[in-house]
Amino acid sequence: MRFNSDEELLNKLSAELEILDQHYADVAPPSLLELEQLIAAEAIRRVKRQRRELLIFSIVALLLLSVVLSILNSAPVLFWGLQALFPLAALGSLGVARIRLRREDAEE
Amino acid sequence: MGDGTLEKIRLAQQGDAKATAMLLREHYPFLYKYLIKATMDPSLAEELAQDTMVRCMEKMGSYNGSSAFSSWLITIASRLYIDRKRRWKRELKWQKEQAQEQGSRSIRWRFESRNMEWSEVLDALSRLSTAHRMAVLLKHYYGYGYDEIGQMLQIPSGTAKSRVAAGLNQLRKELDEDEV
Repeated sequence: MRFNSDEELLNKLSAELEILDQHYADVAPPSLLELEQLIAAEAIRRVKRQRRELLIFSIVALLLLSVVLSILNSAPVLFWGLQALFPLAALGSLGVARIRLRREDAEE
Repeated sequence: MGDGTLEKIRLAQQGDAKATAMLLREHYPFLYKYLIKATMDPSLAEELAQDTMVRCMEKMGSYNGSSAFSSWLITIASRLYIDRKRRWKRELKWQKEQAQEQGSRSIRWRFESRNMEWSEVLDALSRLSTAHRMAVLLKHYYGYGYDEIGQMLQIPSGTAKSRVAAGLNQLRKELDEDEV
């Protein structure tokens, strides 16, 4: 199938996509009851997830705090060395992740 | 956007489950049909439509009305689809290809079961990469500008423009090859 111009191709494409839409015009949306049940279940799931995340966050924060305080007390040089190392490592990994994402997009 | 929709959005943002359900139900056909065209796979479109509705419930509070509600849904759905494609990259390639093929076969079957000829243009569209297909669709079927497409797909508008151009070129190439 050859098209002489982009406009001709785009017109044909739009017409075919409209036909495709018409083929799925009879799609039945979920009933209101189903959706309300989904919303209620989702709300419960979200609250549970938030609670679990808060719990994990608190435990990890407490652990980190106790580790930091004990290192600061026993080896201050190591403590300040790690303070410098962590931000650098975080920046480096962010850079790597960004490059990887761009490469994936380019491959697409 | 009609007053009724705005009122439902306002109520949904206040946590009214009935208004949220009505809003999502009203927009479901539009969302599903967008996903059919973006994925060329009805069962994947259905899964993504459900995921989009769940994400929409979570993020309802962050909808600020700067774009139409339907555009906001398309944005969420497109990003979910892109995320899913990224996850698939880590899975076996042949499984992905099989799923994609089954998807377009299912659409073709729907056409043929209604005594309609399967379109060469849609067939060529289904063979485009997801990024190119979505860009062409958003620009030339839904009429969004490059800036809007960039925001929706989280890419610079220049990249959106080049994806649309590359998508059209690829489409033309596929159709020319079919001719031979």
